[in-house]
This record gives sequence, C-alpha cells and structure tokens, in this order.
Amino acid sequence: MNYSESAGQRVRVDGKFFRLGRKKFHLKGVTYGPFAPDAEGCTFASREQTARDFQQIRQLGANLVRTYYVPPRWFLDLAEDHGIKVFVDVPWPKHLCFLDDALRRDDARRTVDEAVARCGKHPAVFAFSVVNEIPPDIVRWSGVAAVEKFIDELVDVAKKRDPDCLCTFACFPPTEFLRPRNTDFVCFNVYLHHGPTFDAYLARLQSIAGSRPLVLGEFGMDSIRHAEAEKSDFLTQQIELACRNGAAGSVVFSYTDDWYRGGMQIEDWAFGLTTHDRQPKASFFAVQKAYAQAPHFPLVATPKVSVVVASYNGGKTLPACLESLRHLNYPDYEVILVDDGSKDNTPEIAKRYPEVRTIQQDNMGLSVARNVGIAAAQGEIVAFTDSDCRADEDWLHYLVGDMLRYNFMAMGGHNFLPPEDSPVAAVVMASPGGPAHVLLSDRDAEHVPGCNMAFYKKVLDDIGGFDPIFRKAGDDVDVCWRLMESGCRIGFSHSGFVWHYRRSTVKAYLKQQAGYGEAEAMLARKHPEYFSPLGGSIWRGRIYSEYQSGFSLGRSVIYHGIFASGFFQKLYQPQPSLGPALCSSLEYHICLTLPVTVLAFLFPALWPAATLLFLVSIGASVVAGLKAELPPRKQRWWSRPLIILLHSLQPIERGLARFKNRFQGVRRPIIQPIIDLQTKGKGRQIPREITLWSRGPVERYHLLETMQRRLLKDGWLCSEDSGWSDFDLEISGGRLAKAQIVTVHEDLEMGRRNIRCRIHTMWRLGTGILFWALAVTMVLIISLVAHSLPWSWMLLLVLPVLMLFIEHDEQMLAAAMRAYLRELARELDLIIVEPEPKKPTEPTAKEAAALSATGQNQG
Amino acid sequence: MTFMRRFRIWLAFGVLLVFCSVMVVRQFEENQSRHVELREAFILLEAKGYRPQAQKLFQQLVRELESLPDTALLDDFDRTLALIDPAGPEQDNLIWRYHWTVSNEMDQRSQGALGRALKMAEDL
Repeated sequence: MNYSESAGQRVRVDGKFFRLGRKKFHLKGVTYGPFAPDAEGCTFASREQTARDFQQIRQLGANLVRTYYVPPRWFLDLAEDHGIKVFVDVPWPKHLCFLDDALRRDDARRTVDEAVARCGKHPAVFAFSVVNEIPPDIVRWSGVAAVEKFIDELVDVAKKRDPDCLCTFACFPPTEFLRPRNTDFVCFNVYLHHGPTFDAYLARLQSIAGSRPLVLGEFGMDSIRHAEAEKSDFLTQQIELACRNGAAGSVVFSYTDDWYRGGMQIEDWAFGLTTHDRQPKASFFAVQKAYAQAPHFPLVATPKVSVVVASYNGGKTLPACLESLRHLNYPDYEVILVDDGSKDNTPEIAKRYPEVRTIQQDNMGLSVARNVGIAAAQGEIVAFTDSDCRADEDWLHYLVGDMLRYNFMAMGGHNFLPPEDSPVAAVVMASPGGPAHVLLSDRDAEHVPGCNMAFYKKVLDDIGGFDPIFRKAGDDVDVCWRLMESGCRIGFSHSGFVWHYRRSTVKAYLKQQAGYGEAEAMLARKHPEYFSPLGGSIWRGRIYSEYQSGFSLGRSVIYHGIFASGFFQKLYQPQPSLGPALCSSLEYHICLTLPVTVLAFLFPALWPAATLLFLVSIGASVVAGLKAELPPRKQRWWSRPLIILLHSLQPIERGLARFKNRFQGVRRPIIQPIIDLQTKGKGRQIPREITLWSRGPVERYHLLETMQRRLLKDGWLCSEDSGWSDFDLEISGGRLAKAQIVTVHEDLEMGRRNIRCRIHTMWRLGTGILFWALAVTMVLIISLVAHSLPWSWMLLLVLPVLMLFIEHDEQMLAAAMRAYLRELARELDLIIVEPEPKKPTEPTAKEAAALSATGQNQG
Repeated sequence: MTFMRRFRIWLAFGVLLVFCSVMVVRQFEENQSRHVELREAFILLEAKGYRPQAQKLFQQLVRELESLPDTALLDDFDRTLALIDPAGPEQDNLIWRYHWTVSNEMDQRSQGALGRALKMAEDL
C-alpha cells in the first residue's frame, strides 16, 4: 500500500469537509474496540492482532478508526504505517453530574490534557472527541449553557496543548440542542433505521452544523436482531445518504463483534462487520462496496451545467475563481465569463483560460451580464458564482445532486471566508450586511445568495431572467421572489459551497453596503409586499448569516420529552430581535438622536437624553461586536473595535443610499399628461368612484390584473391584496400619499355587469410619521420658548400648509388612478358610467320611470 | 359633511389660527401677570427687609426688562415712583434702583422715537 503522499500530514478542516495535504479527506471509518483489558489494563488488542485488523480495515476501504480510549503510541505508529487515521474519544466519567463537583471537572480537564499530550501531535491522529454522548438528564440537571461552556473549556484545554489538533464532542439526538462554539466539526452518533427519516435528519444535522463539517460518528445495526442482508442494505443506504447529504465522513459501528464494555464482554449485541474472530460478514462486503464509491455516489442524472461568472473589475480574484472552476468534480459543464466592461486586466486573465467562453460587453450592470450568460448557456442548468469567489471542487456535484433528488427548480449554498483572506476581510464577514441565505426549512430556501446559486435555464427563461434595473446587487433576491411567486421551490445545499473573498478595506465595504442600500430601495419599489411599512424586508424564513446582532428578546426552548427522555430533544430558537438593528439604523438617528441633540444645544437639560440615545446605539454595536464570531487565526487586537465601528456605520451608509434612491427613484413621469388628457376641466376635486359597464361578462379580476400590469410597467409601486386587506390594489407611487383601489361587480340582466371602482387616497406611513413628528417637535419647542416668544404659537400654522401639499399629492394620485381606469375601460371596451351629481331621496314617479328606462337601456 | 370634508384643510387652518391667536394673547397676558406678581413680591420683600431674597428678584426683574413691552415698563415706573423719592440718592434701596433702571430703559427706548421724530422734522 502506498500512503506516502499524505504521510506525516495532519488532517485540517476545509469548509464543510476535511483536507489531507492538497486532497480532500473523506472519513470512511469504523469504530474499533474497546476490547477486554490485558494484564496491564490496556483495552486495545495486541500489536500483532491490531496489525492484522488494520490490514483488514484497509481491505474494507476504510481510512479511519474511532477508538473509545486513548491509544498507545505503537497503535498510532501502526495506524500511520497503514494509512489509517485515528479518531480518539477521551473517556472520563461524563455519566456522573460532573459540573456539581470541582474534582470531577478537574479530572476531565486533566484527562483531556493528558490524552492530547500522550498522542503528542502524532500525524495519525485525526481528531479528539473531548466527550461522548453526555446523558440528556445530566445536561438538564446541570444546565445547557453550563455544559456547553464546559465542552468549550475542554476543547480549549486540548488546543492549548496542541493548537493544530482537531476537536469535537460526540453528540447524539437526545442532546442535539447542545451547541458549543469551539469545536472544529460537528459529530453525531445516529441510529435511525428508517431511510427517509435518516435522510431528513441529516439535513437537520447539516443545519445545526452550519459552516462546520458534519461527521456521522456512529451508526450501525445489530446482526442478532436483524438479518445480515438487511444490515448490509441498511449500511449501504446510510453511507450513501450520508455522502449525498454532504457529510464529511461516516463511522460504522463497529469493526468487530468483539466488544468489551462496562466491565464485561458484550455477547448479546453484534454490530460488527466481522465476527469475534475477524471473519468478514456479508455487511463487511456491502460496506466495502459503499466505501469504494464514497463520497461520490453517482447522481441520478448529470445534466449539462453552464457556470456563469459575471465580472466587473474583478481581476484581483478572477484567476482563483477560474482556476477553481477548472477542477470541478462534475462530468459535463462549461464556464462562461461575462466581462461587464472591466477596466482592469480581466481580458488578459480570461485569455489564460482558453476553455472558458469569454463574452465582452460594455458595462451594463450585473443583471444584464448574467442575462447575457444565460443566453449563451448551453446547459440545462445555469449556475452562478462571482469573480470574487472560488468554488469547492464538489460544488456542482452537491448543488446539482440536491436539485435533482428533491426536485428543486433553483438551488443555493453557503459562501465561506477563504482561509487565505485578510483579517480585515474576516471583520467584514462578521459585520452586518453580508451575503446570507434564508431558509424556510432544513432544505427549502426563501433566498439564496447570488454568489452561489443554480437554476434550471428554462425557469429563468420563463420569468424573463434577471431584471436589468439591478446593476450592482438585489438581482438574486428579485429572482428568488419571482420564482417563488411562480410556484417554484428553491433548495439549499449545505455542502455545495464556494469561498467568497470579502471586501478587504473599510471603504470598499461601505461602498458595497451603499450598493446594497440602493438595491434595497429598488426591491422595495418592485416588491412592496415583501417590505414592512418602515422599510425593512419581510422574510418568512430564518436568516442565516455570519453576522450576529447579539440580541434576542425571546427565550430558547428545548423539548426534552417527558422526564428528559425525548429521543430527539430539539432546540427552538427565537428570531433575533429587531431592537438592536433599529437602535443603530439611520431612521433612529434621524428621528431621535439628531433632533434631541440639536434641541440639547438650545436646552441643555436634554443633554442626558441625547447622550443616552447615542449610548444605546453604540451599546447595540458593542454587544454585536463582542458577540461576533471570528476565525481565531484572523483575530487581531483591532478586530472587535473595527466590527463595532462597521456595525455603527453600515446602517447609516446603507440607509442613506436607500433613502437617496427611494426619493430620487420615485418615477411618476406619466401622471400629468394622463391627467391633462383624461380629466381636463374637472376641477380640483376628483370623483373617487367610477363605474364601468360591460356588455359582456368582463371579470373584475381581469381588470385588476390588467391595471396592475400596466401600473408596474409604468413604474408605479403597486401591490395586490395579500388576502387580509380591504382593498384590491395599493399604489404607493406618490411621494407623500398612496392610493387604494377597491372594486366590486354588480351582475345585471343578460349577463352584463357593472364593475365599480373606488379610489381611496391616504397618507403614506412615512408622511404620517414625519407630519406628527414635526407637530410634536413644534409643540415641544413652542412650550419651551413661548414664554419669551409668545408669537411662536403661530408656528403651528405650518401644519395645515403641509397638509395642503399632501392633499395636492393625494389629488394628483387620485386623478392619475382615475385616468388609468378610464384608459383601461377604453382598452377593455367598457363604458364609463359617470356618477349622478345628486340623488333625490324620494324620486317622483316621472323620475322613477326615467331611471327605470335608463336601467333597461343598460340591461 | 361634504363641505367639512372638502374644506377640511382650510377649516383646520382657521381653527389653528384661532387657537394660535388665543394662545399668543394668553401668553402675553400670562407673561404680564407673572411680571406684576414678580414685581409685587420684590417690593414686598424689600419693604419687609428680606434683603437677599429681594436682591434675587431684583436681578430677575432686571433680566426681564429688555423684553418687557412699553406699557408694562410704564406701569413699573408708575408703581415704583409711588414708593420712593426719585430725587434723593438711595443707592441701598433696591426699589429706588429698580425705578431708575426702568427709567433708563424707557429713555433708551425713546431714543429711537426721538430719532424718527427728528428725521420727520428734517424731511418736512
């Protein structure tokens, strides 16, 4: 056997996987022992037996053994000779209430420290598990946070002894709520015999693992209670499912039936792949076959994928991006580079990659570049990444695999900070506003980031591709929302990830945030239904981001089951609170900090209030800065102060850009011509009701759809009834006012009908807030200065003047909506029935006859 | 109702105008009565020999002097004239000092009127 290539090297974490040297290291493991202790109390087999076992384990195709005791040095040497890594469980009495007793805690710390010291940075050691399966009732007894803290402490003890060693703790479903922060990867022992349940649970474990690799620490089946054939199928299926779900490795329990535990030889369980005397069972050969294929089990199909990279001045990171795309582990793909008018060396770099189809165009923005890529794509699937990303070699394998397996029309995945990126980039990663994904469940997404997403080309064509108005950002959000509106499901692949180089200077980061702010304003105009009246985006799912706001008003709840006996003890986490975000928002500073500070110059008594408001905002930033998770190797003394600064600046920069675009971008170019054309001479008071009479059964839904389409086309902000409203359409196109249109149809004789439309105008929420904020501020000022300036009361007269302006806006909006309705009536061949100027309370017989005649004529 | 709805802004303007006017007048009256109250308190304290307290109110009255309307100034002048002998120097008497301060303020204000009167005479 030739293991020289990786000899002497240690395994390291690489995104969601492990790497040994330059190659990925997928764990194919078996548990080994413990065996009956010898005269010296050693729970390992003899050296000769171990050598024979290792040879057989290599024949199995495994590359790792998991031991439940700290192995002697010769064992590690032997493992190294056979190219086997050892996953060491450090045993200490975790089944006792260890947190109640300082001596037991010290004992645990000492045991971990001695275990790491004993292994002495041996290259055969894969990782240490500082504790295995803490009983759930003990966790509940001692407290979840305290146990998590102690696990982290044990990891710190191990890292202090050997900073490069990998550490984890072996968890299992009854304590899946435990989330220590310092472990390098997530390890779970799972015994679930039902395939679909196991599949779903793996997705859940991947959600828990987040950006860390997931390892199945134990799984297996008893040969005594189940037929060997069943066990073989089961193990094959579980290894395959683990691989398909992107687990970084799996460890079968166990190598042999020879198992000594709790002071006795276990005879009534036979989980082994071999018998006591190491005779291979049928399951041995099944696992051998599965391990030979792992981790890349063939996909159900391999449709051609077109990878589109849109680049604008991305020359700095483009080589890494294109280089990574050269080595993708996928049989049929092409790479299309769309150079969006770059002024740097992008064209020269592109020439170095002849296999990449390069399309040059003038700078027209991100969406247009992506649309050009889609048009040029020959693949059935189009995947997108950015020039500041480099893809993991299995990116497409997992992205497409999950897409096909679960019938998603679109797919996205993680984007991680590359290990070689700068400490400033790490700070940017931990700051707000980074690319995030929003998950509805463990597999279904509501939004996937633009730097890692894939779609069926057909569905992109069906929705018309990316909207060209999004030149810098926001295109991915828009596409996701439009896809979901058209009934498509978007999936999230936990293992199809890319490395994303973050902005490496504060200036570049703030510029990026300004771009996001502009995009947000455009999104709010295009999809007002996804934004709250205060301007924040509304997501149904949970946002997953490296950035932590640090606050949560709600309390985490754990389902422990009766008497803490639940098999799956799930953690329900509350949504992060919006409070801190509000306290550092631009709106907070404009509406509170700034006015109170200005007033404090006039009235020094307000200085404490102004200071408090400022401190609240800074406090929110400080908490977020302290809570931010930074890669230990990227931490510098200035990292956290910089995060605090960015946390304070980001909402202001982004908010300014958002407001600037929102006010500049309000488009009402066609109001006046339409009003002039349709309602000339009608005076200022526009009738708010209009009745459209149809000869045939024209549906009001059709009218509303046509109206909405027309309004959107003309650039209005138009949202439809969500099912909870009293209106059909809401038009927020006015600067100060908005309009709501409500319709009703009245069936007349002969299948004819009236469609009555009512236009209701009102102030926009922002207008109301500003107006009343101004009114309150004025009253406040007047009450303070009226003593010396009695005429200051006259300031209040400004308010009705403002109301006049708002009224004018309402009138204009009503006139425009009425004009639209009239124009639509003409298009749809409807007759406009003008309302009667006055309705007599008691019509005379003559008038009644006349009215009746009119009705008959209409009918 | 239609009328109210149609002209609601003008109605609001009218209502606010009335409200503001009332508040302005009320504020002037309140200021005036507060000043009278202050002045009388000052006179009482000075008369009864509460020197430090009277001194405090004196300072306040002097501070307010500039913003007092002419009528209030004249009222103060008349009120203090009845209590002191303006001819005899009574530097220790705060009421006497206040009287002369008021008198000087009136002189100062009349300078503007004098200037305008002279200009009028020149123009004719």
